[in-house]
Amino acid sequence: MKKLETLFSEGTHQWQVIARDPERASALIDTNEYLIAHGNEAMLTDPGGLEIFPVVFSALAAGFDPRRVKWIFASHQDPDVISSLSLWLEFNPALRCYASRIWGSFLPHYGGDETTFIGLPDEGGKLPLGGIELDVVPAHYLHSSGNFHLYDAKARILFSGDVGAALPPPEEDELFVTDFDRHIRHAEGFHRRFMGSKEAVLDWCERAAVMDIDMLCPQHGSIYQGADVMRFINWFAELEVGSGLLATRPEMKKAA
Amino acid sequence: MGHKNNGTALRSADLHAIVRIGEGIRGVVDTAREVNLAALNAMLSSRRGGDNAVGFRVASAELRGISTRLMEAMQGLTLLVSSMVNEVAQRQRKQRNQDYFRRVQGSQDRVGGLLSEIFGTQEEEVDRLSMLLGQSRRDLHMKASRALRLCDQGLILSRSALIEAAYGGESAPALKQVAEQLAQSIHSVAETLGGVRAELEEART
Ligand SMILES: [Fe+2]
Ligand SMILES: [Fe+2]
Repeated sequence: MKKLETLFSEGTHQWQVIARDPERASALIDTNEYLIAHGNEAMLTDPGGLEIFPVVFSALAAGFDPRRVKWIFASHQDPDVISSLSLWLEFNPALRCYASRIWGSFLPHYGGDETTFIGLPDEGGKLPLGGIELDVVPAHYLHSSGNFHLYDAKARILFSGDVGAALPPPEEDELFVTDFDRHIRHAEGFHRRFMGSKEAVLDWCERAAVMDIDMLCPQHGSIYQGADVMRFINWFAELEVGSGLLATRPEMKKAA
Repeated sequence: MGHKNNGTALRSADLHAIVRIGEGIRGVVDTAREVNLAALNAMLSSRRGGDNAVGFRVASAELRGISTRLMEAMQGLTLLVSSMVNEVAQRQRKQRNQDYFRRVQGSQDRVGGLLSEIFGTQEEEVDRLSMLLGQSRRDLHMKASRALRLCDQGLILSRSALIEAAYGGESAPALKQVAEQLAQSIHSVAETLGGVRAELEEART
């Protein structure tokens, strides 16, 4: 069973995470859903896949009025990110979903219509939430070609989608990273294979390095906090990515 | 994944039944087209039989008319089948969504209240779609029965064509062969349509 846990709370401004589901079907990758609330409104990031909707909804509704969720932020178009959309819309047809504008005609395959989606421009921008604004941070090609992260300057939290994602074994699966070196081994293969462009990696690292971040919150695996945030940025900047190409160009393997 | 329950199997059975009905209708269209062509040939060959074959010629012309009407009728059936596929798919989606919401757990009153509201709306929608589907099924049954009556007329005509063929003088053997072929085709159309109708009756239970 998933559980709602508070990451940040100051007045009505809150970040909560719906994390850890030891009972999930093993064929499904575990996901973190983040709930950002301010005033009377709330936004849910990457609400997840169809199959996990019942547990996500149960966990959310156990600690929060789901009717307050007015917005969904989809970092990108993957099924583990947003394939539950039709069910969220069934619960609240007025729900609006933010995503890169390049997915405008793809996302309706999961449900919704032209009124559901708000296309985000490549350069990002600001999203209003109950009187404050959140920053939409471009992270294209990491891994999706239309990809955004979400930064909350007040809470100093960056939701980083698949960047920072790790697939640790159950015994090392904890809410926060406690041992960076041990943790990052479970992130390495994923980042090498899923992230396609070194240029995109460096572009993101430059941007993230100057942001004031207390917590880096990925869609999979543990949350980085404090010094581990910069550790991650430095680690990522050094990483060789695009490993899928090695399978077709063995000469690159020798050079690497 | 262990969520493929009996409900899902039953729902896909609905879709499979409709697909089989659609196949049947396509088969009828093909055969009716053959009948149409064969009847045209019969009319032409009866010319060689001269005045003796006038009865055969009339029967063939009428058979040709019947096959045209059958093809027209199948157009209506095809439209109905495609709207049924749509209705079944929509209902399946609704029911699948219902399954997901049934798996939501919540002990608090608030969650219970929210869910029962959703279940209410979902139930109404499923009922509405089931009603639409029932209506389409009845329409289809009626149209299939009407087409079967056309086949009955066709069978009678093909029998009289067979009788008339005997008066065809020199062409009699050729005319007889054509008449037999026509009868066989109409028979196969009737059989397919009977199957479609039976499938619809079974789906209703
Ligand atoms: Fe992804
Ligand atoms: Fe993901």
